[in-house]
Amino acid sequence: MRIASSPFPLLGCLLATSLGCAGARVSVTAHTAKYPVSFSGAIRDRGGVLHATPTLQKVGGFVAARTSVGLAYSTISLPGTWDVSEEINRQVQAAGGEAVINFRLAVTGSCAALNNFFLLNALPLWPGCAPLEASGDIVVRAGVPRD
Amino acid sequence: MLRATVQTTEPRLSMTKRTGFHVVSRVLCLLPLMSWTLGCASAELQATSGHVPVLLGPVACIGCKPGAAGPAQDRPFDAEVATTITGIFGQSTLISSIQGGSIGEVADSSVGDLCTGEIRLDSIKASVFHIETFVYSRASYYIGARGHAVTVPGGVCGLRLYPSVEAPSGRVSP
Repeated sequence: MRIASSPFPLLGCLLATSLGCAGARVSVTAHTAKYPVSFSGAIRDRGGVLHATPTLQKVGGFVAARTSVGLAYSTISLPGTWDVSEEINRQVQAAGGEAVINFRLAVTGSCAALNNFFLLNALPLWPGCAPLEASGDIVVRAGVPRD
Repeated sequence: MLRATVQTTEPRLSMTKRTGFHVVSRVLCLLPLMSWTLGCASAELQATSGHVPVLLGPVACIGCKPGAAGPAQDRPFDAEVATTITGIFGQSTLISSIQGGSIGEVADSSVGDLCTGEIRLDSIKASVFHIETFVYSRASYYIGARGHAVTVPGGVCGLRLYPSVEAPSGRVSP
């Protein structure tokens, strides 16, 4: 009787069974990139010759980041697509490069506080997010005149 | 009788208040703890250990036009990286999975010849998802890449294939 009349077991049950979730999903594209982008350190020239670190010279670093917000338990993501083309075109042109190699794409935990916000993330309108970071090396062919 | 009831009720209320503050304070302490234990993870898609180009976007080579017709597709390519952390009352466990150890190695093994083969990615999907109850929490970080391997007609290795010519499976003839 005493247990039933106390509100705290009820609160405990609510806390123990409350289910919250949040996050976001993103597609990453480079549909309008004007330069080749390779996740590895290798890239070909127009003649089909494979170039890698010994024949490529780094002229700059590529860095870009984007965070997408997810709603309704990550069912809706805004924006749902990250096109890195604009950043690639701008940064490679600024560095005078010919390609991006060693491209890396990371999804990091910097939104954990938002995604993990206990109890509030049980609400469908509570936003989650997905922070994405892209990086790479902007390179030119060593000793080769530009096309 | 009424006086007796009041005397027994008041101490219970104050005890309940103390217990309530105790529970709330513990919950408030656990909230950041749960967030911190799940907040240090990430998943990274990279292929720096690979020897073949793993291409994203419409430009296949230096000096090539965007959207130029590529060679025929050889076989599908599928790779993913994922990091999952589960926690029970702050005791977190990290689980990482990288298919094939690195997608660079997956790419190398997906082509027939390291000098002529390459990977062209069609789609990359990334997601973060946290799910939790009071006693259990789980954070998942995922990046998946899909594409296809192709053989480039006339493709040749350059002066040297980095980092050395000792490529996996001995399939490189420099």
